[in-house]
Amino acid sequence: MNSIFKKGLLLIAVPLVFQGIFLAILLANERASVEAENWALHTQLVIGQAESALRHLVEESNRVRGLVITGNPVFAAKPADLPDPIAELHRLVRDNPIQLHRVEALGVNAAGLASWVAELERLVRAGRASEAGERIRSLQGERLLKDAQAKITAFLAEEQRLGRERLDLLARTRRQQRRLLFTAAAAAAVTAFGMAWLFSRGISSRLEVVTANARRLAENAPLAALLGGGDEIAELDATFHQTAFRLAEAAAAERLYQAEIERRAAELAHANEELRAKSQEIETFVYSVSHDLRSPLVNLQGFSRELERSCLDLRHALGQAELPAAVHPRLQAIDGDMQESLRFIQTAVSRASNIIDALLRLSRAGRVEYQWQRVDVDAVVRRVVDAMRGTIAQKGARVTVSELPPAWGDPTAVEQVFGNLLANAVNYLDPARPGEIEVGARPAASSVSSTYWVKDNGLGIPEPYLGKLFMAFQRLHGDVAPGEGIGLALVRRVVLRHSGEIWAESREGEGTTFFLTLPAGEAEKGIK
Amino acid sequence: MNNDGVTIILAEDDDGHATLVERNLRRAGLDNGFVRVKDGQEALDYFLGPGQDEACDSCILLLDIKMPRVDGIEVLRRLKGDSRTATLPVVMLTTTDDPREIERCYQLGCNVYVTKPVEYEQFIEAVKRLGFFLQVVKVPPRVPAAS
Repeated sequence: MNSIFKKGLLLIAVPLVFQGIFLAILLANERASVEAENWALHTQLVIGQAESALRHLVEESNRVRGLVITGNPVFAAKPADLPDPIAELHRLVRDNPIQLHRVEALGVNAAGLASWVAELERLVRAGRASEAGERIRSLQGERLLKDAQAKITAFLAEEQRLGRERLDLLARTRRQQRRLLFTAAAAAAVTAFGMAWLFSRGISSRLEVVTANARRLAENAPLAALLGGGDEIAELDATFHQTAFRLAEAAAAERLYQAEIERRAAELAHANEELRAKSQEIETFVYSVSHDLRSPLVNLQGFSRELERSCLDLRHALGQAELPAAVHPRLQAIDGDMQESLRFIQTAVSRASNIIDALLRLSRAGRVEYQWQRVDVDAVVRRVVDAMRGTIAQKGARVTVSELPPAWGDPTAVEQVFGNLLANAVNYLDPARPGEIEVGARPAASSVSSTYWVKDNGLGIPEPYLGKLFMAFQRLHGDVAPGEGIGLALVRRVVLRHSGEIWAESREGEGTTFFLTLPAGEAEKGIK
Repeated sequence: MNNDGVTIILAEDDDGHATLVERNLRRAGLDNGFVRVKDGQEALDYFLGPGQDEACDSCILLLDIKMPRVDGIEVLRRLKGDSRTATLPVVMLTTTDDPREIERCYQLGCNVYVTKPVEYEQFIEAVKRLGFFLQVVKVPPRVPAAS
């Protein structure tokens, strides 16, 4: 049997027990009341009996007088064989010694009266009526009757007193009964209230604590102290506490994981920062080295030209000098060698200078500080196309620019990107067919970034070269246009610094399409 | 020539560059006085050092950027920041063609910025043009030192 059921049972049982006790008391009282009523009735009966005894005595005395005076046999007949009222009275007051005594005395009296009557009847029957009259006149009978009358009156007085007493008792009992009823009703109410209060304290208040705990559990607040007791409520509360404990454990584990994730993120950020610093370092190094290399190159080139000039002067001086004819071919050979050497030096220097320039441009693309702003890509591309108008016309190409969405970035860098891509498209057109170059934008897949494309119908890029496309100093069509193979590496660097992506789709002999994404809004601003 | 009295000061740490610049300026027809200082500190000493108030009444400074000790940018900043040399015409003559570097020099108050190209013809052309520029440029009289 569970505890709440027990408590509920108790709630019903206690008032029931109380009501039982009250019922018992009431029943006892009822019995007392009935007894008192019986006694009252008994008194009435006794009084009636006493009065009838008196009446009997009076009648007997009257009858015998009538018989004596009239001699009429009507008076000779004794009344029907009635039970003796005195004997009946005797039986009724058995319990009361005083009254019993009185009745006994009355009995003696009555017997005296009866024998007097019997004597008179005998005299009448014997025809001694005058003697009987004499006897009557002697007032003996009268005295006996008066005596009996006095006794009965005393008896009645006592019995009436008893009757009053008993009626009093009955009334008292009735009053008591009423009081008891009221008390029982009040006690039942009080018990019911008391039990309800106890139940509320024992169940409702505990349930409230558990409900509050459930709410706290939902709000992740600390729970109230564990409820005592062994009922289902305490069990429920214990379960809540257990759940709270588990939740706290889970939260602690989560915090641990969170901390771990944060640590990893910090590590990653640190590594990233280090990488960026390294890359910056490398770019600075490249910049500084290529810059330093430029100085000696200026000298190499400059003085090779000076040397060339000196050679010219020397040739001129030798031409004016009077030299034997046999020396001339030899001198010409030397002159030719010198000029060839100088040309080689100059070509090499030019090449070195171009490479250094390319390196400088590349390092600058990584180092230069961007002026982040909204870039009108449409205007930028049209400006680039306009600047290349000459070359485009010369190649007989046609450039179509669709409307381009704005981007978030550095205007100069964005211009550099489209400048390079368009220059490539124009430079590597297929002479076999009229050049068609298109610049457009894909409908934005997201509001985060826009995808632009530059498409040509040029020479195209063979599959194996696509992978090396964006690497520095990689040239595919080295013979088609001059350059150091830095353009696409530069473009890629710029796009990456804009947190964008760049890729190419190409088919050899059909053309190439370059795709690139640029951030559409400030939120995507790269900080590379 | 109206700039005969103008002295050209060349601040250049590379002897080869200095020689090439001077030779080609001469070839372009300039016969002005020519002084070469080997680094930024020497350039500063020349203009701002003690007892140098009369060093140069009317000068033009050809200033390289990459120099040991004090670089050209610092020299430019200090000269333009000093009332005695604030009006001195300064021509930046350097190998750097970084647009932001060029912008910085103009912000600091340089008058002309010339890139030394590696290509000899371009270099000669640049120096020649510089020579023409130097021939026509008006050099303001030196501001006497406030004392």
